[in-house]
Amino acid sequence: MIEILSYPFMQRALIAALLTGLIAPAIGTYVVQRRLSLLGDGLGHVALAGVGLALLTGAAPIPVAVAACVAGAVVVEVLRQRGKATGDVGLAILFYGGLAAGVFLSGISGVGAGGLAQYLFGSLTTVTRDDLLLVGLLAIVILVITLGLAPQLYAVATDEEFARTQGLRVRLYHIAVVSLAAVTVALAMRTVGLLLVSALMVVPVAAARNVVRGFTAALGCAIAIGVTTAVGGAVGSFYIDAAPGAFIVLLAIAVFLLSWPLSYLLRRRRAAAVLPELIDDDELVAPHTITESHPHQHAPGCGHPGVQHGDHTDFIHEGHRHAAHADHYDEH
Amino acid sequence: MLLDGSIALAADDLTVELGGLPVLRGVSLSMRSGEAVALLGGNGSGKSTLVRTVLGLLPHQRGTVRLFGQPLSSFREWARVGYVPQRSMALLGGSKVKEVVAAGRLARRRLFRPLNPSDRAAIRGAITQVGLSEQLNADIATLSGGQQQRVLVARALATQPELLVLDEPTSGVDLEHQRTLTELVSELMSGGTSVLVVLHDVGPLGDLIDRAVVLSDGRVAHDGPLGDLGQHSRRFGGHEHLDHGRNAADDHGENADSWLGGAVEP
Repeated sequence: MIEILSYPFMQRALIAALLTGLIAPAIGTYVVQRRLSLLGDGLGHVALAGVGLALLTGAAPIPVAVAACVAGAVVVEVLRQRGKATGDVGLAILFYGGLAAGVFLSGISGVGAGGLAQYLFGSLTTVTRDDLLLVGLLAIVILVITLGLAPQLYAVATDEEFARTQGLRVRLYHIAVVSLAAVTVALAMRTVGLLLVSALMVVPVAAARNVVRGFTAALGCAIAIGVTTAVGGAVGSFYIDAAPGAFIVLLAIAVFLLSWPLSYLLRRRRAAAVLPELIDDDELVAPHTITESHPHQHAPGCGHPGVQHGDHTDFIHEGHRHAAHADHYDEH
Repeated sequence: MLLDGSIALAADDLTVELGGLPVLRGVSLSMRSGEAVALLGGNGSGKSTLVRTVLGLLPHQRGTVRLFGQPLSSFREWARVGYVPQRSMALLGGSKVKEVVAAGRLARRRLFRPLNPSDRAAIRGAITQVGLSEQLNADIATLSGGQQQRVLVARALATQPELLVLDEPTSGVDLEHQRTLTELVSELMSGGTSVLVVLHDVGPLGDLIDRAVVLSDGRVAHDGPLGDLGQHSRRFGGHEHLDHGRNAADDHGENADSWLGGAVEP
């Protein structure tokens, strides 16, 4: 760990990974709640158009990608709100339009589509100081909004109509969520890459929902999983010389897979905590089983041998022990 | 009380088209403060469309809506209105009961501020009122249909509204839950809350109703005492009815039922 921190490029890489792990699940929680889990993917493609434009004009890629991504997200959200396109058609237009524009622009810039690879798959170790400054600033904005406005964003994401009757400006909140998702995607292109950033917005949220109860708890747990897997993946990839973006996402998916048996165990533990109150102790010791129809009256000397059993006598009857109980016999 | 002139809700000549089809054709409805109005009618008569329009959830092509005297477009005092929808995405799970109910405080909360003590008291109070204090931290998806309905009621109560709008709160809910809800609404009304309730069947809630508005094919077919819907017209005006309670109301509820069954259902 000490060795890792002695390299300035790794220091920057770890900070970038930490910030991505914080913000992707924070905004992802609302995106998943609105059932727009694939939004991040579509936005990733639009960011690519921004990268192409940056390559063409010689501008810094991250700010241009942020602008392109936010613009694309707002257009799709407005189209959706006006009923001009359904959610999935809008996302499809994002996917194809963004990808085509990115490849086209990078082609005419002379870099070629190959130059896009580092943005598609992330390039954590090439994060610059300026990149980090921008990522840090925008991450603060995203965290302040996703955590500070959590009650409003939660209401808008779970029950839009009710939120409106509470006087919330629902359309504005929707636009805020997709814009922040767009910023997150564009920022994450250095860490996990545009193709995999959506995974970091969705997978920690899905895992968190398996293990904790309630929206607020899931938000916190998703952020914890995001930070752990992002930093863990960055550190791990340094030692085994793997692609950090892919390693981070695989770690997150591993946590998700582990969350299934964990949720099963948690449910069993919760159920077990309730169980003893439901069961009558006496019945645990001696279940009350009534013999089948039994016309014969047992009595001393009736032909069935009697056996003393605690405070009463059981009569041996065809291999069973019968004990008198009210108007019937119990199996003892 | 009836003459104090404060109007909680006034809809005038409302025309609403959905997908090019007229659903409301010139509907007018007004409610005084403290009044309890039932909105009745068969499937497709426009009941839900009317309440959703007066709450601003659906656009209207003609007519005006005023809430507490202010035009809907400039109405901002949403803390005066509570809404219990028929269905809610919030019931799909992933939320605790108290989280869903807390959303009912948003009209009273400022941005970037945590819940204050009066918010917390209102949320707990509302959950207790609907009898779900044991389920405070339960995932909403694990509750029964009747309990989920009560969560939506509690969410509206947490707002502490002056006008409570309920859209078919009794559909798919057993009679016991309907009675619990009736007691709750009765309590609210004694505190001065106005109630607008969409009902498919009158049921126990009918006991509390001052006035019934029957919609038929997007128009108002009846606007008057609930008892007038039956064969035996009953006199019960204003709040007098509330005081002598529910046993007197059982039979006129049935009358209204049979009237609705015969004349309004297509």
